[in-house]
Amino acid sequence: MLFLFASQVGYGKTAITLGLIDLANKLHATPATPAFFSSGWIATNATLVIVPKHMMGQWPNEVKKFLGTSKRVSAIKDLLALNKITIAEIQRADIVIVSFALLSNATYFARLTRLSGLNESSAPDVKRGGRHFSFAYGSCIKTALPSRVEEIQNDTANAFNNMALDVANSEKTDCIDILRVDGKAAAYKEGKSSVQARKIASQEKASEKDPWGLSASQVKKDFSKMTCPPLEMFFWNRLVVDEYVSIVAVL
Amino acid sequence: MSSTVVGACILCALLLGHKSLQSNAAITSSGDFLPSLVPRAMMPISSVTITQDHGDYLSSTASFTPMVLDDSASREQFLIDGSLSTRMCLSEGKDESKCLSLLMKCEACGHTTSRSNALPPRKFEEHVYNDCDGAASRVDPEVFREALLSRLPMLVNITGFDIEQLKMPKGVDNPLNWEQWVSGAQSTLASDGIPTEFRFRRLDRTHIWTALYYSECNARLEARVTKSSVTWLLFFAPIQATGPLKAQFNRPLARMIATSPGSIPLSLMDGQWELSLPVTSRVPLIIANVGDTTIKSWRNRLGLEGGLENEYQYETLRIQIDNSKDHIDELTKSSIDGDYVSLKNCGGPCGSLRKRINDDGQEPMFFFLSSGRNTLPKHNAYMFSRTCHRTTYGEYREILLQTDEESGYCPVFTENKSIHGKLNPTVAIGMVHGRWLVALSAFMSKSYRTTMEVTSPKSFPIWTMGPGSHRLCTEVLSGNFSVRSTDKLFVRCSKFGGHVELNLQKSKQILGDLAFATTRLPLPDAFQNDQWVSLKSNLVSDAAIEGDTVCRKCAPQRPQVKWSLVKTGNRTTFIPIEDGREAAVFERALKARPQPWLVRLSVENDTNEFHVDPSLSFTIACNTTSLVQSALGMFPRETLARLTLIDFPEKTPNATTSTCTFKWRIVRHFEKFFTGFPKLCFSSNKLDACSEQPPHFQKHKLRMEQLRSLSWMISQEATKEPFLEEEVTEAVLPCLDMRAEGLVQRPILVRGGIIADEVRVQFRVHDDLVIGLCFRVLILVCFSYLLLRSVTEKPLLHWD
Repeated sequence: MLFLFASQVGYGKTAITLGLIDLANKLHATPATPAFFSSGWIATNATLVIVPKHMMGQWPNEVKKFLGTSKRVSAIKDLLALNKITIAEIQRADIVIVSFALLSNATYFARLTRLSGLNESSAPDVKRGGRHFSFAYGSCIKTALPSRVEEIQNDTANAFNNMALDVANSEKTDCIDILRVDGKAAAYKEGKSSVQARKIASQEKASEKDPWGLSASQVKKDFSKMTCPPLEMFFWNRLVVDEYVSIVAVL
Repeated sequence: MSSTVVGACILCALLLGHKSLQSNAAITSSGDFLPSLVPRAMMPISSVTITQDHGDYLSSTASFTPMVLDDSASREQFLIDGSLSTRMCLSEGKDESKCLSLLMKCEACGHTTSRSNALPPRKFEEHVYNDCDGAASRVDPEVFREALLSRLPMLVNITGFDIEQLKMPKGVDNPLNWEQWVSGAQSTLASDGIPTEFRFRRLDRTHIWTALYYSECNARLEARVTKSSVTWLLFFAPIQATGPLKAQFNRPLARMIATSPGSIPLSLMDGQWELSLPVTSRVPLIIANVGDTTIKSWRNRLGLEGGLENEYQYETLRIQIDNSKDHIDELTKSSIDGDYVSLKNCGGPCGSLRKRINDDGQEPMFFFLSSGRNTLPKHNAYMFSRTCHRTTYGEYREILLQTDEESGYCPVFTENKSIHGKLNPTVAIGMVHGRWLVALSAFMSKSYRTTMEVTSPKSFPIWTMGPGSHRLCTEVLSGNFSVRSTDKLFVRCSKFGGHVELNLQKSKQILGDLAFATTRLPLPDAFQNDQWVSLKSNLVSDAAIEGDTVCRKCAPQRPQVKWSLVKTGNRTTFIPIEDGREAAVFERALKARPQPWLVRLSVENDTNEFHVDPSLSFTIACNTTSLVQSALGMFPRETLARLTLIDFPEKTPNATTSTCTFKWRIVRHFEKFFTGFPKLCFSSNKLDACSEQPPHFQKHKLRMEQLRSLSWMISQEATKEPFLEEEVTEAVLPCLDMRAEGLVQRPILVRGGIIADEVRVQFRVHDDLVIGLCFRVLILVCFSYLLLRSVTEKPLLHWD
């Protein structure tokens, strides 16, 4: 399924990868975006490189060393850096280098959940992972996020308000009273939700309101000025995972 | 559920439905069927149709007699092949055959086991294991099974015993017993003047091969294939009796050791039948010690106290039959007389196992305590037998001679040798049950029916699954043979109006009764060489039904699990809650799923035409659509495999068929390990061509080997060859050694690859990583080879 390729240490995997990015453009045109991903994702020709935190400084240097200034590079070291990145920048870029630290950041996922229109406290800590995380993350990226992206593209002005409505709605439906099919309360003692539960949920809510700038007027005019876009919004040209083993070890 | 609820349910069910439990015939006075509350083996025909429309069918004739024997095969070689394919370790199961180098044999008692089971030795069962002699390699059980089946009759009569001509032999204690024996023998061999038909039931593979036949009144006929001979043993039909009489009826009625007449070297059915008369003869056995070497008794070895720490027995005993009064024939005497050494470490009840020494080349003779299945210790007796393995339930072991249980022989003594008040040597009473009487006129003959008509598919053209085609089963095999109108199966089918369907979970007995007809049937031509049969899916009509591409009846949708905030005790946490309504639908659908296999029986009793035997036919069908649909259902809901069938057509309206391929087949089912997995190969870049230098690489150029890798990666990115992701569902037809498989293959285009260094770790690819990122090409840059055991469907979801 995936092909294995063996080489010596110091063989220059990074160099070959960069060579591939460089040469592939010349040899064959970027394949068309498949029909399934044509709406709900923002297409970009950039290559996304996910690297461990300690390699973060090395990669932009390697790009400069081999490719000079011929490629536009965006390095996203952490959440602060992501806050400043706009959709337009990623669309323009050739190589986007992301630290894996970002992809294990709780706030990143909280924002992703909220942008999808789900109750952000329903997403557990990414480091704990597990079934609950898979469920929360899966329900974001399978349907909620693509439909939000479509909305941002077509109806940017109302996107933020709709998102807030969705979140409020999701907070209500998350706290359910476990009822039997006939409408009576279940016999299980622990199966009681209460107003108190809802309160705790809203207390835990992060204070930040709009890291994407969706309520700003300039974004409302042009969605590509939206900042802090989650990486799941895009349909990438190529994904490179560097030092896959050490990244998996972190998980 | 609590027992109160279960109890209440059972009581309610009994109140409502006790009428249907009253008699076997579940028919009301008005002639209607009373639906049974308990699942029964036979049920009325379901609404599913069995069709021959999907393929081209051929009729042929199958025989119940031994098939043509090849004259080239020698009898000795056949029996040796048999002994090389028996089960040599319990862990081999029904069909497995381990290599001889993996097996070990006990030098002393001949017990064989696999190397992994031999160690560590069990307490009180420490065999003297040696390597099995590896001169001959083992024979595949499948091969010998087929060879043996083709040489055995499927139906057989045994005639010519003339029991009524027999006079009561001398030595029968009780004339009443003799009468019972005669009537038992008569009812076993014939009923109403018609000779009993023995029907093949199954082939058992233990330390020997045994073919089992049963008559309609459950009399058993066994063919035991050992290294040296094929022995037929005929047992009585079960009789209500207790005590010694019961033991008498558990012993065989007759036996035959197959010998070959000159013309057919490998006939297993010819030979001299012998009757076992119910005579018990008694002989004195003189048991003395050889030498004074003593070993601890088993109670002493266990460490029991209270006088038992002084319990011993002699290591070697000399046993001789006192033949001074001409009690017994010389052959029995010579096979019994000898020195028996204790094999205290080879298991055996109470460490009693002994084996005759200096038996070079002959079959071994064992002397051991044998306990009944549910008898008191005082009724246990010591026996002489050629085998010492543990018998399974109902297995008959041939006993040459046993000590009289009333004489209470026991080889154990305490140190002062006087506790049993017996002097050395001991004289015990030996008993020989049964006296063999040659029945010159008895022989095995053909049954009244010798052939049956079989219909099976020759080939299958591709047909299209449409909506509701799970109600259509493809016929796989059918057969038709004549029966007597008194046949139990015939009578039972007739009660149902001539057409019945088998509940395959409950019909082991009925399938066993049909085994004589089904066992030797070959796989239909359409499935030779394990080939797959293709199907097409009708996209438009399937997608229109119930909003899903997969048949909800064949592949019930799992309920969704939603995580909700719930207060548990003092904490408020998210817990997973299954959607109750969906779960109920799922559970019900799961129980009502179409059966993958369908077996129907029907009888014809055309009384209008004169002199036509009634006939019984069976039809075996496979619900292929359902099988394939449940394989498709195993692709998770969100995958492209299923999306291609619903969502995708909306985006690509020209598509009329899915990109998935659907296939099915029927294969022989063997319970064996699958060893045919392909090996994971690492491709080297040595032979790859160099690519050109990337255009922007100015100062630092790539080296040659790097360019070779680069050209490989470029080709990986440009690939158009799809990978086939597949799901298979299987269904085994019990008792028929057939397995149906449904296969769905979905092509996915995977671009990219892995660049890796030396071997360091092996791990599974987790789906937690990169699941939400959508891309055209994936490259994993690693420090080590990745052993990709599983790539879950989630990342693939977003690949193109």
